Amino acid sequence: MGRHGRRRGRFAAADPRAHLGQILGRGALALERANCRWQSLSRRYGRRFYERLVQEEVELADIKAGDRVLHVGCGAFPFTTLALAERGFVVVGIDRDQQAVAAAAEVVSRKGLDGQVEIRHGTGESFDCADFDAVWVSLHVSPRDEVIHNCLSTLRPHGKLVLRNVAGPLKLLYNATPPAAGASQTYVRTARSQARSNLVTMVAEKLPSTDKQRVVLSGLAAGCRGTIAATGNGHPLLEPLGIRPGRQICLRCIQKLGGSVVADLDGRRVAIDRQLAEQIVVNPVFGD
Amino acid sequence: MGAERSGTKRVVMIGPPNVGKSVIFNRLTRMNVGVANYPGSTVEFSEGALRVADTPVKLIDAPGIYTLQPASEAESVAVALLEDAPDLVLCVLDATNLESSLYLLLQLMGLGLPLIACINRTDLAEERGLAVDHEYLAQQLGVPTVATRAVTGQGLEELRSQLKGALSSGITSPPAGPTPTWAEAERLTQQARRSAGRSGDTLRDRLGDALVRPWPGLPAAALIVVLIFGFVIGVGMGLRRWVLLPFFGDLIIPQLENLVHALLEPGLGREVLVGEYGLLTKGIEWPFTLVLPYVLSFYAALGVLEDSGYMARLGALLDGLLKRMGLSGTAVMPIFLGYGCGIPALMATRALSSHKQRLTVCAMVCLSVPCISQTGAFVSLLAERSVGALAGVATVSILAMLTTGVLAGKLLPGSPSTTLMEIPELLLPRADVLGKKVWARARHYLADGVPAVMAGVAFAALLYETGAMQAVGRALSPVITRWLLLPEEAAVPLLLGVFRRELAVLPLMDMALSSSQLFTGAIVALFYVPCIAMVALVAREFHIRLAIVVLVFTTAFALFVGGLFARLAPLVL
Repeated sequence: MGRHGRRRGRFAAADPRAHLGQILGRGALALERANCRWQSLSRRYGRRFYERLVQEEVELADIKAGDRVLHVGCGAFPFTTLALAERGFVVVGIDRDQQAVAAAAEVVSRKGLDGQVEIRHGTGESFDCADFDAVWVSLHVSPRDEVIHNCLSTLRPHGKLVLRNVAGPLKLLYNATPPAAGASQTYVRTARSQARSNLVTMVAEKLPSTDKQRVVLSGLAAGCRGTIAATGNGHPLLEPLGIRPGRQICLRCIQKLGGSVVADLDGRRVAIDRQLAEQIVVNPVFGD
Repeated sequence: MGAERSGTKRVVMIGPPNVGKSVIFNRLTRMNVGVANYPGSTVEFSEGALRVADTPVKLIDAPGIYTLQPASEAESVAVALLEDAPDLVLCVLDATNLESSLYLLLQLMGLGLPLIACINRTDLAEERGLAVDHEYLAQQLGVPTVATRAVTGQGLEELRSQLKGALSSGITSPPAGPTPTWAEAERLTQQARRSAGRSGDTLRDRLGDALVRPWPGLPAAALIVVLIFGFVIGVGMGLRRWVLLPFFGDLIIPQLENLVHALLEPGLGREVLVGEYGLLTKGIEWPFTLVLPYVLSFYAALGVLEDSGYMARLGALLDGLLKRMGLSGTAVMPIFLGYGCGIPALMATRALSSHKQRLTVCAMVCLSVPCISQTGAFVSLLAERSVGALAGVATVSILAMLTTGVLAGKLLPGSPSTTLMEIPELLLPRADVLGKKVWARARHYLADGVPAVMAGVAFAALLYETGAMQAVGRALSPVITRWLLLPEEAAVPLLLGVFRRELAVLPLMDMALSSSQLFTGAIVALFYVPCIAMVALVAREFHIRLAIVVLVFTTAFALFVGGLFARLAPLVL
C-alpha cells in the first residue's frame, strides 16, 4: 500500500485506531485516485476513515438528518455517499463515468440503501443543484472551478457547498472565478480535518440575496459601523481576523491609490485589501 | 529535529502573531537564545534553553499563526513543528482577541498533544475594560491556564511552575474538547469575559489610529522615514568617530602594524598583512570602523520600527503604491530588511503569500537596494566630499527600486496579491528585547560578515602583490577608462564587489577621484552584483537560472548606467 512520506511526523492521536487510520488513510487516498485497482483492500480500509471525515464535514456544514445531499464525483466505491446515507440524509451521487455509475449503483443495492440513495450519470458543471440542501464535491473532481461556479449559482439560499482540499498554504476557494453572480454572496468556513491531517474542508454557504442595494465595506464612510452579512471568496485569514457574518465592523479609513481599507473588528484593527473589501457585504448600523 | 539528547524536553510555543510570545520567550530563556531554521526551509524561529526543576528544556518560539490552516510558508513551519511530536505545547492566548485565540486552542486540543495555555496582554485588555477569567477556561476545557502580563513579568512564576508540573509529572493530553467552530469560540469568550471597569481611548490608541490614517499618517511616515535615515547615518557616524575609529584606528591597527614590521622581513607576507590591501590594516579598518557602526544603528532603528508596531502601519499606508508593484502591505518588511542585508530580506519573503511577490522583492533587493554595509561605505565615501552626491545616490536607488517593482509587477506572471493583515497595538519597544535583537544581528555580522570581508581583502592583497590585479585592470581598461571615465585601478572594486558589496565601494576611497567620478563609482557599485552569499541564496530559494540572470543583468546594467551617469554627473556636481 502506498504511503506519502513527505510529512515529517504525525500527531500522537489519543485514539490508537485513529492513529492507524491516519497512516492508512494516506494510502487509501492514493488508491482511490489510481482508479481503485486494489478493490477489496481499499473498500475495507477506506470506509473507516470516510466515516470520521464525513462526520466532521456534516458538523461543519450544519445540516440535519433528512436533508437532501448531492455528491459530485461519487466514484465506483461511493464511500462518502454511503456514509452520508447512514447518517440519515437522502443522497444523490453523480459521476461522469458510466462504468463507475453502474458499479456504485450495485454497491448501493447490496447495502440495501436503494430507497435513500440514487446514483446517476451526470457532471458537476451542468447539474442543477436547486433541489439540494448541500452539495459535496470530491477531491478529484475536475474542472474544479467550473463545478464550483455551477454549484454555487444553482444552489438555493442557505444551500451549502462542501469542498475537500489538500492542506497547504493559502488554498483560496476560487481565485479564478471573477466575483460574478453568487460569488460575493457566500460565507465560507474552513476547518482542518482531524481525521485526515492532510485535508482541509471548506464549506461555502450561499446567502440569500436581498433586493436592497448591497452595501459593501469599501463603500462605507470613515467612522461608519455595520454588521457583516457576507464575506466573499474565502481567504483563509478572514475568519480568524474576525470577518464573519454577524460580527460588528467599524470602518476607520480608506488608504490612497486604491490601497487597503482599515477597519476595527471587536477591538482588532485590520488592513483589508480593497478588492476583498468590495466583496464584504455590510448592513449599516446607524446611531451609536 | 527528532534525535535529542535523552532527557531534554521539547516545548513549542504556539500563538497568534503580535501576542507577545517573544517577550515571554525572552523572559523564560534569558540569554540562552539562538536563531534556528526548520530543516528544508529558511524560515527562522528562535530556540532557547532553560532548566525547569533540573530538566533541560528546549523552548521553541514558533512563527505566529492564527489557525492551523497555514496561510504562508512561515505558518506551515509552525504547523510542521507541531507535527514533530513535541513533549509539550504552550499555547499563548491574546486577552484582547480571545475568540480567535480560543479557536486556535480548540484546534490544538484536537491534536492530542500535552497542552498548557497562558493568556497574555491582560494589561491591554484591562485598558479596554475587559478581564478574562482564566480559571473558568481552565475548568471548562481541562487545560491548565495561567494569566500573564509578559511586559511586567507578572504571572511568569506561575507559568514556570505550570511548566514544571507538566513536564515532570508527565502530563497527559487534554480530554477531547468541543469541535473547533467559531460559534464555540464565541460562546466560550462570552462566558469567560468579565467587565473590569474603565474603558476609553488612551493617547496610545489615538496615536496608533492617527498614524495609520492617510492624514496625518502619510506626512508622518515621510517624516519618520527621514528621521530614521538621519538616525542611522548620524548615530553610525558618531559611533565611528568617537568609539570605533579611536579604538581600532589609533590603538589596535598601529600596534599590529608595528608588530608585523618587527617580525617579518619586507616581502609578500608582510605586504599581504599590512600593505596596500593589508589584511591587518584595511581588513580590520573596513569592517569595524566603516561598516559596523551602521550595522548597529540600522538594526536598532529596524528593531524599534518592528517592535513598536509601526512597520505594519507603514505597510497599510503604502499598500496602494505597493499594489502597483503587485505587492501587498506585508512586503514592506522584507524591503526594509533589504536595506540591512539581502539575506534575511530574501528569507523574510517566505512570509509573502505568492511566488510572484517573492520574485518581485528579490529583483528589487538584488538590483537596487544597497545593504547596510554598502550604505555605510557610500556614506564614508561621499559624505565628507559631496553631500549632493550622496543624496543623488539615494535618489537613484529609490527610483530604481520603485521602477523595478512596477516593471516586475507588470511583467511577471501571476495574480496580484491580497493584503489582509492585522495592525498591532502601538507599543513602546522594550529596551532589553531591542538590545538582544541588535546584539544578535551584530554577532551575526561579526561571525559572518567580518571574515568574509577579511577573506576578500586577503584575496585582493594577493592579487595586488602578485601583479594579477594590474593585469586584470589593463584587460578591463577600455570599459573602465573610456566608458566609465574612471582610472584603470577602478577595476579593483569590480573584482572585489563579487565577494562583499562594500568592497565595490571602499577601494575607491584611496584613488584620488573627483566628486563626479566618486558618484559614478558609487552608481556602478549600487547596481552591481549582489554579494556571492546572496547569489547562492537566490539559487537555493528560487533557481540557479535566476541566479545567473541576476549576475549577468546586474553587471551589464551597472556598467551601462554608470557610463551614462559618468557623462551627466559633471554637469551637476
